Amino acid sequence: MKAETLIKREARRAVPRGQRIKRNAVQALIYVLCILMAVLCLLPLWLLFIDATRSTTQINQGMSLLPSKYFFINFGTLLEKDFPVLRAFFNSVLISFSSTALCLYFSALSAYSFVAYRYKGQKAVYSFILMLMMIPGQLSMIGFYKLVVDMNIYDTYVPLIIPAIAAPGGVFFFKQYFDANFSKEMVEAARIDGASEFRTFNLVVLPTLIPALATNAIFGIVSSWNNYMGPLMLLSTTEKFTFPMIVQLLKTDRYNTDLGAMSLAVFITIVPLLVIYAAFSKFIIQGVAIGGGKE
Amino acid sequence: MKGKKVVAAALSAVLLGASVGALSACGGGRGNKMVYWCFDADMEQQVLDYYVNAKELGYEIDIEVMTLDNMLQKLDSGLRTGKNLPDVVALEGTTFKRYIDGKILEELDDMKPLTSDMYDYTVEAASKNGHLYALATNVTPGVFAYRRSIAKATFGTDDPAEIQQHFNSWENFLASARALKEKNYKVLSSYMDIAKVFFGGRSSGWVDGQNNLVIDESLTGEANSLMETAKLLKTENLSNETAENTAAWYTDISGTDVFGYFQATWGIRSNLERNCTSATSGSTSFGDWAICEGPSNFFEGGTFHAVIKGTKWKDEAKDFVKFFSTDATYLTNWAKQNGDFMNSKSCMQAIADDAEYQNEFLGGQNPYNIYMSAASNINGEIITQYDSTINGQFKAWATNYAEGIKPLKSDCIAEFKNSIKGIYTSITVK
Amino acid sequence: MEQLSMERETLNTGAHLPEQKEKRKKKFRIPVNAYGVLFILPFFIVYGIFSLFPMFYSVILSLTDYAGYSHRFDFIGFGNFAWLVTQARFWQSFLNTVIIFSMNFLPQMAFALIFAAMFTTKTYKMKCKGVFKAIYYLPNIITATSVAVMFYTLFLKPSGGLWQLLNKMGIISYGTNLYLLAWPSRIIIAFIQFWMWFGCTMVTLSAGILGINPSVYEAAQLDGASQKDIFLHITLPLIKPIVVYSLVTSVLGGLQVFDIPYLFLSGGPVLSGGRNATETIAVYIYKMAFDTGGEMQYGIASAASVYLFVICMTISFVLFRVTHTDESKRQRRAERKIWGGVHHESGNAD
Repeated sequence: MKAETLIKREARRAVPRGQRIKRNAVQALIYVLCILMAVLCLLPLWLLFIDATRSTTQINQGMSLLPSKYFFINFGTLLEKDFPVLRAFFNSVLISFSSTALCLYFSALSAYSFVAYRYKGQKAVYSFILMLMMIPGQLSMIGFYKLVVDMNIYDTYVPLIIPAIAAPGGVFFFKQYFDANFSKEMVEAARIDGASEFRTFNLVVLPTLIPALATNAIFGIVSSWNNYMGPLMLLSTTEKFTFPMIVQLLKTDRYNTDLGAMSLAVFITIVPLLVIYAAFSKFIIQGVAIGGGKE
Repeated sequence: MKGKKVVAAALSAVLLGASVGALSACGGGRGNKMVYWCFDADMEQQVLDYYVNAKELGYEIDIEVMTLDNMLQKLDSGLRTGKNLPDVVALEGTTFKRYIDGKILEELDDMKPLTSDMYDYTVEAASKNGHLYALATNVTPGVFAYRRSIAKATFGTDDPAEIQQHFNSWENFLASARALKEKNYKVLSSYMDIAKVFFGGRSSGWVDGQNNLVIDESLTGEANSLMETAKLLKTENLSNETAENTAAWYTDISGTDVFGYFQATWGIRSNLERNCTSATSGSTSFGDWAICEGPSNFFEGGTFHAVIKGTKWKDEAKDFVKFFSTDATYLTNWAKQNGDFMNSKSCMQAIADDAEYQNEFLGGQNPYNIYMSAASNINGEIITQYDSTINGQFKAWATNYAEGIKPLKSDCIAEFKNSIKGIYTSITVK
Repeated sequence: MEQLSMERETLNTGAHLPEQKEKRKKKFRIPVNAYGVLFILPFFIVYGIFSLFPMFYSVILSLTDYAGYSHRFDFIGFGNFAWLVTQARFWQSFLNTVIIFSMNFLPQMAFALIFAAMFTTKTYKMKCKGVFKAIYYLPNIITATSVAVMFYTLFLKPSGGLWQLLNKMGIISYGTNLYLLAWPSRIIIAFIQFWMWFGCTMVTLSAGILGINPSVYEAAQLDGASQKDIFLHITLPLIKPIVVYSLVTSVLGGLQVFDIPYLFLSGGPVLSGGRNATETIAVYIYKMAFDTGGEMQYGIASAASVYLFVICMTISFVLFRVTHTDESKRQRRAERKIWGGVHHESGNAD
């Protein structure tokens, strides 16, 4: 490390003054670009928040970057319209947490079967699962819908939760994690102690997976939370609607008479995710990096 | 073996736990209640006030209010899956026709004798193969609602009869729109508001008996057609260029520069009156409105009650349907209270003749004479099950023409036909 | 699967300590490796029921006239497939998918590469990298439905903030309703996709760049190679696998895009020939089957999804074939070339 920094310092000193100015200019340019892109990413959200604090008349009159004073009036309007946000929030929490829990557990279990045991055709099975990753799930839409109706689980959460058990991506993720971190000795030790295979997995192996589980959990929850087409197709009782589905209601006549209140409603639907993100953004970004770096 | 059993037990426990959790969370067992679906909070109110709380029914009614889109989606999935259907349902006038079918709804033939006081078109439109499947609770003739203050400033009077003279044909409508523009007013908020007037004034519906697409001359003709009138309104900048039912359109109701809105009876209250006061500035147009018949009679929406096939609440549901279309006290009081125009000629005539009755929102006007006249001209034969989709497609292409996106009218008409081909396999397009 | 479990008896691998294995064999009557099969079973059972079977079911339904409220259907052969081929609207939905995908993916990849390069360069020290990355990734976690409604209000004439901005900048006139025009609507949808996915791609690519062995850079730097050279001749070739990975996942995701186009204008505005400007294949399939006021043509919708399926599989197969076969060989060759290039150029610089 030291040698490296020395060399670098050396290299920097060797740069003539003209180049140093150029270098500073480039550095400034990089910052400008980064800030511009950040503005682009945040501006729509900011405008939405501002509109949530403004009256419909103000919104119609022109764009503003500064908040106004109608936030609570808009909030009152929204309450009058009976925006079913809490109920949907609870439903989405239920679906995303239970499906993610199943997904994590069974993905880890499946991946474990590839590293802890040996059986004939194992490699083929794993390749098969990798291939399944490439099959776009949405394509079986109509068949899935018909199956759900035939099985009499239409308008329940079963078809939104149970299929999470079979997530090829999750298996892949945990297999990769095992490849880097699996300790055969630990499992053997547990076996010597007389623990059953199932106990070994639950009590010995699972705890070692916590970092991987955490990363994957955040993704699982966010992606299940954001799922729109599934619930749209499979739920019909309003009380069972998920969070993204009530957002869809906002575009309808009942809500869109007042732009301020409507903006506020959309903003409210974003807030839970912003909170989660504020707390976990580091893990999330790390997770993206790991997921991408794998291939 | 033991290990295997444990595994199996654990697996099934997890599966069971998850599914039980999922199922119990969406429980909502209705038990012994009759389920009623409707698409407006007012409907819930009237059922509570005049039926549930006013009568000793001996059973409970579970009222579910939702937006119309949401209700149709639920109804469709309910009919597809046989799960989660109401017992009695409020259907809406532009979308109800596809449900008028013996496979979907119970026959109401024993109520045919009660229909003599009703508007004929509601009975016609709710019948199929000689059977009656739904009863309309209200009739929804459309009128032109305008601002009294702007009328005075531009035409020197706000009297409905005199204003009607300025708007009694599409030529006069355009001439008055130009007069309004000279005083910096706009005749409409959205120029496409006229579409529903033209659709309601057609002499033929979208499909004929052989399921051929029919385009009425009044929509595409050379003079005073929907397409040409819309184009003039757009090119001469006579409207405020908003889109119907968007926030800007609603804001214009409490504003100061838009003269009028084409609205059906219910829209006077639920669109205009509900949005006539700005939530933030507090300025209001309440009482500054009046109605006249406008260039052409039309209708929009309406509520039909029907009983879903196979319900175990068949008799109670039929009683329900009957009450909301025939009970004179309800029909009269609800009309006076809400401004709706109910499906009873005699009750409505009584209100029209009632010198005491005044609508405060309409500056004291009694609108029922105008409603009576407009309602008698409604042509029920033009209602088809395709109306809301085909209306939407036609509006899209009429807008393309008006905006000059596709400047040739013949092209737009051809494109409209093409789009219908792409949507409906069962309609023949020539 | 049954085959697998039958074969388990004959297997005797994976054990490091034979003596202990003997003991275990006495303790448990089933061989330990059978648990491997047992543990993978739930995956395959659930996958079989909820994914594989629906896929076959879709294929079967695509051969029927299943439609409307009725639950009865008859087999009609390949009629639905033949009918779809004649539909301009169907072809347009493919074209729209490709248009919207390319309009968002190409700039997204370009920007992501530039930003990833800026974030990973050793020459320019950047502060607050974490903050910037967090901001760029933020749009990706927001529910697509909220995003769609948000942008819908922001580009809505005349009240939308971004519409007003465009109007003030003189890009659009006061009369312009963007939602009536094909290309502006597509551009907005592509922009929304860009906005949502730029951060994700950029973080993935930076991770890839950071994963490159630092010694490669150091050697190049010692040789005096410029930043541009290092990026073009070292970074870019070495992160190609990740770029390919992003490409494949983006193509598959892009072909199935539904939420934003459906919620934004539900496929509109209308185009000539019964086509729609932003109706993607997934939106077409959904509308054919479930749209209120539609005919509920499940057979046709299934046939369309079979077409989509075949196309997805073909594309991913081709992409993998092109990029995976002798990937390592080519990479090695590329590396050799780069080194040649760097040495050559550094020679010039000296």
